Amino acid sequence: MMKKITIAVAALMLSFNALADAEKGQSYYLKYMKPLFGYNGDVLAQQHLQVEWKSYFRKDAKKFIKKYSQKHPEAAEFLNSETFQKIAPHLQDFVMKYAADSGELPDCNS
Amino acid sequence: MKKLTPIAAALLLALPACALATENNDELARQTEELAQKVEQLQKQLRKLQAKSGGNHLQFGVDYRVTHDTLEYELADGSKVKNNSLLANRLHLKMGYRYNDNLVFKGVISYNKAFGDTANHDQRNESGFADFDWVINENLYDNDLRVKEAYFLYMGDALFGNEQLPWSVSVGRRPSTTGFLANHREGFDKANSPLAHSINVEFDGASFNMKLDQLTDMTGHALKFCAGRGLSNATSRFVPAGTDYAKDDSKTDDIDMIGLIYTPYNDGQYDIKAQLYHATNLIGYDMADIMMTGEYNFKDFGDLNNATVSFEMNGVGEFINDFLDETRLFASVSMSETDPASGMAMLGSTKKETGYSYWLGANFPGFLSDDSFGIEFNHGSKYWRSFTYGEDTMIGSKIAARGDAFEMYYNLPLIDEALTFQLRFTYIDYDYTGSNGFFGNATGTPMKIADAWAMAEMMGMPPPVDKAHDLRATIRYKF
Repeated sequence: MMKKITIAVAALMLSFNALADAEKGQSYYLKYMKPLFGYNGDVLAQQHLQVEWKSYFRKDAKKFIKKYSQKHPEAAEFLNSETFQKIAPHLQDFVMKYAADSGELPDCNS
Repeated sequence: MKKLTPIAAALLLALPACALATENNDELARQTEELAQKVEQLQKQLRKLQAKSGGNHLQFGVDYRVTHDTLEYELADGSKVKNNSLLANRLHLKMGYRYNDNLVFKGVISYNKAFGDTANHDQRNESGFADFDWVINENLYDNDLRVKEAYFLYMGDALFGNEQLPWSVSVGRRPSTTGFLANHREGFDKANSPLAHSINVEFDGASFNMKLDQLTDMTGHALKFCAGRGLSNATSRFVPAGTDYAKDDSKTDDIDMIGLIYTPYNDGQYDIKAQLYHATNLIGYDMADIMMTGEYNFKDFGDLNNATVSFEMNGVGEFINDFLDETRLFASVSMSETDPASGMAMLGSTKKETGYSYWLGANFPGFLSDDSFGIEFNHGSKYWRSFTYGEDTMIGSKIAARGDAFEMYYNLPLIDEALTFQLRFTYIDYDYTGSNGFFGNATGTPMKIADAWAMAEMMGMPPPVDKAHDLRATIRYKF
């Protein structure tokens, strides 16, 4: 019985399909990229317009990796890693949400 | 004289042309460079224009929701009081303006009301507290718009010239409802500022925030001081004595609050916060005064201290699977301590009394795209007193419960994040009375439910609430 439950739970866990999530992107930025970039996520997001971020994240975020590897050489290894590819969709949602033309303003938590 | 070979002749003839072409190429390169510079300048101007026209300076948003609550109270005598269909709608109109990179104004105006009117037209005033300032936008009221939030925020890059110490200061009516951890049950990704385990009310005041992470090399390290006034003592305009807005010694004194929120660590996955506050001159009703005068007049019962520590794990492990990545777990503990004014029975006791509460929760991703489940439990002890009157729960703040509260909810985006649906069930089992009362001995005294019922029965009063539950369906439009 226990084995069946374990299998059922495992199957359920594998069946979840996570979508990109701006808030998750912010969390990932904080954890993985802020220590390398040295500034907050809102500063990154404000560096480009939404349309520009869209182009930066096309084709496995090639343009983003190239530009920010040059800008922050110490981040190059991470940007070319598998982990970055995993967080890239969330990161894209985050920078799009807070892009220079997004209309989002900081609040008193900022 | 030697004759020119045909090739040499051709080369000689071509020389001026080559020189000319080189000149032309140089000119072309110069022009191209100039053009590129102009394009770059134009791009910069366009970016500025797009940023402005995209609303970077002016922000407007809407959060409109309709709720259907089925609520039931089980009283100590076993009888039940209920409302099977409470329909309400709430509107938040959000606005903001960025004057420059450092200065921002934000505001929210709001109404929150039941559908239509109430049977006896006294929804606003029956209890006398529907228009109480702490919960003016949380209570069902009328369709007048009121200010829920209005504050300006100044963000500095370097405190005392230290570039490793960014700071901000904010003054105004605070975004102090739906704080840290309470955002999940509301279906919001982002929490407001205070720790919702102990503060969830509207509040006028100020805050000063320092980001210490660069200075101390601790990820997310921050310290925020908060202060404000929860109640002002002042006479009104045009008093006969002509002493407009002077102190009125016959009324309770100002309620002031000071506190701090300390974040020792927040790496985006693990977030821990601590909150301390001290509030003065807290109000309540005195039973003896009510018996003597037959009136309900606020008295000053004393001060309250609170310490809260909350922890959230946003994702379990690292990229084990999508389910664990999207799972959130949280836990919070809080302690309240009364400090009664001389001779006043604060929460029914003239001694200092300490109350405790803990709160656990988990959020899991759902089976569809971006839906999620949540489950929460909290428990409060006999003298537990939170400042959570503004919590968005029709049957009273579950966090304030001196007893057990259990909650489950399901969030379903219908059209992206613009239109969402939530189904939420809240169940509260009280051990003691007075969970949602003020700080006096009339509504704040904790008594075992059975004891309170025995006393109420003897005095011919209605039985206290023993258990309560609320099934809420919400549909929300947000942009």
